[in-house]
Amino acid sequence: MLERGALAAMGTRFEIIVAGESGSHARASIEEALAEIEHCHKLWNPFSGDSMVARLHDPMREVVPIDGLTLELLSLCERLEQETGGAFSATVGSVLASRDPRRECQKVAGVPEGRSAYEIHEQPPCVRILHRDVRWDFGAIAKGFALDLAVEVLREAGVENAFLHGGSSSVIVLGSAPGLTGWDVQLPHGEVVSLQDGQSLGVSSDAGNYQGDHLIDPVGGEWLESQSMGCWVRGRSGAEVDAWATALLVSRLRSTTATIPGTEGEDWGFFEHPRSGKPVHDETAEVQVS
Amino acid sequence: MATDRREFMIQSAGALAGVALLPGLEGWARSIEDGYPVGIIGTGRQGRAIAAELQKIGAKIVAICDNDAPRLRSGSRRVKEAKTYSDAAEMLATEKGMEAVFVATPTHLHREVVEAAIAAGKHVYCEAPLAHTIEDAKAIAMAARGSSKVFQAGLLARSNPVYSLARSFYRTEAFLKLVSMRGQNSRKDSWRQAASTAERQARLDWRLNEATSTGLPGELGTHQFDVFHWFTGKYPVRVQGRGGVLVWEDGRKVADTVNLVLEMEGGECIEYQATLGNSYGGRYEVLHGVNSAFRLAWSHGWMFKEADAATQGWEVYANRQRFFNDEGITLIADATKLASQNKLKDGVGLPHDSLYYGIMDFLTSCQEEKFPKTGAGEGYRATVVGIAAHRAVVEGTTVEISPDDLKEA
Repeated sequence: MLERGALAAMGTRFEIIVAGESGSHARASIEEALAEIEHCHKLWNPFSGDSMVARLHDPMREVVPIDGLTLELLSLCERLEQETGGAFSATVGSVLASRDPRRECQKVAGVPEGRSAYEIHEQPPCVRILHRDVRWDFGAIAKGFALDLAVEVLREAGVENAFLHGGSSSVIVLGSAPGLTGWDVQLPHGEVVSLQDGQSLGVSSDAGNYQGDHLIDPVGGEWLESQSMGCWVRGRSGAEVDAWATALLVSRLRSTTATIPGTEGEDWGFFEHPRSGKPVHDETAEVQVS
Repeated sequence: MATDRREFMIQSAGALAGVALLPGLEGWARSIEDGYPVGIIGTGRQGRAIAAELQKIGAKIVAICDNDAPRLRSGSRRVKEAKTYSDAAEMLATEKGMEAVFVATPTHLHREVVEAAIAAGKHVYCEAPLAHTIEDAKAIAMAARGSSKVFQAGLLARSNPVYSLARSFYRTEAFLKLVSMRGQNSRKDSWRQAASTAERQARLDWRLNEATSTGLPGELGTHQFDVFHWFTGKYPVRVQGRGGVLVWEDGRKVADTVNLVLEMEGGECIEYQATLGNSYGGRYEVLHGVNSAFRLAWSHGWMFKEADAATQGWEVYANRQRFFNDEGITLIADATKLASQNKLKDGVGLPHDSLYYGIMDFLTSCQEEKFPKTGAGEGYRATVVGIAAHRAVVEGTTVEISPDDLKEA
């Protein structure tokens, strides 16, 4: 028996599928997990004046008190920016705003300042803004982070088999699909990636969205021209694989190298994205549950 | 009350609603970033929502408490600077510097916690309904009356700037005379909680337990009935109810869909519907008047004028939205000023959740040692109506509400 629940959040669709539980328990677990994702959406929605991101961008604030989850996410972003040599950065909001009319309020003249633009303090949790033009956009890493939280809720509830995805490009699984030893995910070019209990999959592609090119080089603050490439990363954290998928693809496109630190079970691959005659949305890795 | 601990630059609570959408409020929030010390008892979804709003405002959450370990962990992860407690009495005894407490435990556990918090000399914000029985609600109201500290019931309409604006029109020619009222709360949510053990499951599923639940009329309706109480200045004298388990057939007895008619003394009625089976339309209240109707949806509000109603001077500034055959004037606090700045559309919809304004009012009242907009009396009476409405659904009958029932003393 499969129980499904879905939520529109972070500009995409999250879906949770629970297998092998009683209907009411599965439903309750899914609702609790989706509530966690919705909370993340409210915290990090770049289009809401009520979000934590809006407060980080408030020009009147030099020190911004933050909640514990935002502290965790910012700290993770900082570490990943360092590990990827800058190929991943969450402070690319101003570049995104240059092509997205919905982000008008985030437009600033400067290029991304990265980690030198702010300081994170843990006790009490707050961010000191050192460069007023710094603009965050947590993008895919927020999706992965939200899924990490959601899967913890499912575990806490005793759910053993589940498939969670955000926009079909961020995936986490628990246990296995009915009758199988894991969960198989088919990527757009046909390759199947198998996921075992607790594993995550992040997929990034440079396929252009309605505004043109999709990926930004955080170091130079430039849009990267599409080469119809994609990258998948399998690992243990939804947030990390999402960040690494972007970072590896950016490195490949700008002909530099980035290597994932040797975490057990992490691997990755590049693929050529099937071309289509029309512009496609940014979430191009269609997931098929089998 | 030791107010020398903080120099709050705050507006009076009465003026708050009027300026709520102005940049000045953000300035107000920033001025308290040195942190008013508060605690939260109950870190389920509502307690965590309260924590999130407090963090926006800049209050200092010094302690959180929950006797459910996973929920306490979840709360602690969000509020890393707070000390954690599994026992409310221990938290109240230990946290001497904590000025105010937010009570977000299950409804049937409010009484013990509120009485302890008041006894410990704390300002108290208690979620609504106040209790699952009239006896407990009365005990809470009496304890609040006997305290020199602030007690606020978590009914949010009276703090909501859009609702305040609509109410300012209620007694004017723009609305003229009440015709009827309607409310709904539609959501798709099983109301069941997820737990890995039967014991924890039973504890968390208090809303589905007939002994502890006030059902949809109590848990959801109480908040919306208070909108009508506040606008009309009246309380229902009887309530008729019907309901059943129409969607979530998982062994529960507490209705997942209810229909109510609450009748006021003058014959005006509130039609109310709530369901857990479909989310269409969400949560809103409608008040029909002779000259216009208000549709209030917590973050947004609209006025729909009758064709024969006189044009008001302020309508020149109005922003309008189309709803099929009707055109609604969006209710925007301080619309004239925003219009003069050509920013009228920026004012459509509240920038914050309703809870934010309720908490701001509470903290203002604590600081200024003044009565909150929604005190123990309002909380008690709304709870009585909610409990009566739930009883009407359970019994499938008409329940009378006498004036004596509404007196907390």
